[in-house]
Amino acid sequence: MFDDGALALSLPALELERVRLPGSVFSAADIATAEVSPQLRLALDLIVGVCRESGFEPTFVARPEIFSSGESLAWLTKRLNGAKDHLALSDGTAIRLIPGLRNHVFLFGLDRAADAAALQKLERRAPELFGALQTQVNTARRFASGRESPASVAISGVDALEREAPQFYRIALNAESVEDSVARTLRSRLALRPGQRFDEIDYVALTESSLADERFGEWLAEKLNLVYFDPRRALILRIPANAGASRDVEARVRATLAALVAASPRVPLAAAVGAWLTTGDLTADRLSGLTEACDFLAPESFDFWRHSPRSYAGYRRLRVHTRARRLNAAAFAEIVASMTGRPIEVVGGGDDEDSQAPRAEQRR
Amino acid sequence: MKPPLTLDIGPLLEAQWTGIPVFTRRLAQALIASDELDLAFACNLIRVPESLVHEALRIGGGDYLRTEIETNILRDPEIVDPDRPVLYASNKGRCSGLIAREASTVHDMTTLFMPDTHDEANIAHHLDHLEAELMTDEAIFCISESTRASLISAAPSVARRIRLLPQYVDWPDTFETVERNLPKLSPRPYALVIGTIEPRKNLSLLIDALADPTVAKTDIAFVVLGKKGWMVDDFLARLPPTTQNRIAFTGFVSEFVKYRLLKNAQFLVYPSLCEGFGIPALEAMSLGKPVLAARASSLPEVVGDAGVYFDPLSISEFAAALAEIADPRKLRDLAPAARRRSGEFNWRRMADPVVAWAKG
Repeated sequence: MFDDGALALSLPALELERVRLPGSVFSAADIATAEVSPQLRLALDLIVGVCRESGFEPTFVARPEIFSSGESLAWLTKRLNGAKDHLALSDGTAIRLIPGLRNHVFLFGLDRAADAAALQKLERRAPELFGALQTQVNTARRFASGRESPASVAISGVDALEREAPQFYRIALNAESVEDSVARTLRSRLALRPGQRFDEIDYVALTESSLADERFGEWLAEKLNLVYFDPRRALILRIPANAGASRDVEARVRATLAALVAASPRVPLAAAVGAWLTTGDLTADRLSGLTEACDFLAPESFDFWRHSPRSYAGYRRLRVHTRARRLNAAAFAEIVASMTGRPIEVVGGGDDEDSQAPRAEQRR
Repeated sequence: MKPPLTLDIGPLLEAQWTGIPVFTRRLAQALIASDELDLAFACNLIRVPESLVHEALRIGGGDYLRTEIETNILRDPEIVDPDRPVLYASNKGRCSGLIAREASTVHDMTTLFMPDTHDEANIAHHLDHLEAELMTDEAIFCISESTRASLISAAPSVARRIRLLPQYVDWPDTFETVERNLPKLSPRPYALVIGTIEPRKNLSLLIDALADPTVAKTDIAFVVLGKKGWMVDDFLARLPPTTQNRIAFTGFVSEFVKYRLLKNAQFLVYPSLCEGFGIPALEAMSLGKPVLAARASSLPEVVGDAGVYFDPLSISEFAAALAEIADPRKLRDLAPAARRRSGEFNWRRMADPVVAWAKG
């Protein structure tokens, strides 16, 4: 995909709604400062970065779907700088293809519940669509049983700077009331104290999609039970980046606590010493002041490519919770290992017996 | 003996006929004109008497047909003969797989590839049964090469079952005489835009282009003909006051008013991001009016050499193309090409693929 010195890149149409473009074909400079979602911005930076490392600028296409045949397709093809490959950056609502090119997909926003649900609908409504894809970037989805899934390509991330320092809250759960849990938790804001130590920390990077997964909620509730009654252990939950359309901290805390309450954890009505929420990404370096043994845990919808292998290096173990329904678990473990530079332990899912395991290939 | 065919005319039940209902009317009339089939009509596999369909075609709207079906036909419904092949003028919905030989018509794939331009109910209506429909279709009629290509992108396995079903234009003979005897319309030159006002029609390009200096200094006005569709409230609310003396919105109009407005227009503007076919282009061309068309989807396929094209996301390209087509010499040059091109689409071309399929 990146070896031919040219690549056509398309973006979700909704992301471009408020962007004034010079035309259907444009350059990275035309959207360098455009107001797009943080998820898309990270994905764009990643792909454009790989193109530049490979010595070329990608050619962007808005709405490739309207150039479906004949003269319009010929017009588009002429403007793609000789690209033989098209990478669709997709939020899961649609996957647009360019006939005559090798089509690939990067599903960049599946941490958002609405986008994950949209992709499931798309898979149900147009299962053959996915058969036209050559590769999937940073995912290992099994799109439809009985059909060959596109091969996976891993592209490791680069660490983006957090705009704001993460805030910390002690979790105070009232199993009878989400709103009371939110109020109590937001009152329990804390600062990391030097000298505070735990034998073990589980750092869990939540996604909005994972909060909608009942089994993941139960798994999380079990972890919470453990730390409530064991002061040597801590559980730090990084709340999802969004709750529906909102990026507001209170909404994100509410969504997280609602999922915990729904899983009926057996905990007392008190703030836990070692159960925290945090609003932003933490690195193992940052957590090293608290413990010698920190495990990184994430649901399968976590975008591992958002961080560099360096930022995963300090964890004792990397673990991913998966349901393995739409996932080729073996390929997924392989691709996450490629992105993070670490072996990954898959927990929570059943065996995946898909014999057509996509080949994982690493770019960085 | 003529081969039998049942035509599902469900779209004709809509009160106002635009888009797919007009396609259905033309298909029914083309098949009647061909006289090569033992033709029957149905709606959701309930037989509809030929006389009712003929009367609805004469009236040109769906109220009469819908009332007759609801008040009389459904009292004692007659199920279609399952041994006769059935062609749906649109999608089959939940009726898939009930008849031995079924065919449906795919108008476009925008609900799949452009979901941002549709509401969820419309997407579900078109896509929730799509796979079952395609699996049970013996033939799938696509209304243009562009739609065929989009369908193949989504479902490559159906490629060999696809047949083309292009439309044609059929103005009533009386329109020309009546129009000629009416007073002339506004002396100010105008271009016509035809289509339901909805995001896919890309009217925002036209609105934004009016602020472009090249477009602002032209004196041409724009008349937008079509009913208000979906997801456009925001768009209509933010129309700048400066556009008011350049753009007029007529709402839904009769076929004759459309004919009259086209006949008196300089040319047609077709900025749509995506069309299944683009029948307004053909209608304009049949009256010798060239088309300022988006170089997208089916429009180049329909308009051919009878238009000037632009990138539908480029204001500067639109402005340049507008300046080119507004030149009276260009309009004169393109007029014969427009008539010639529209003549290539006729009822025979629409009927033949259906007759061929019905023959088996």
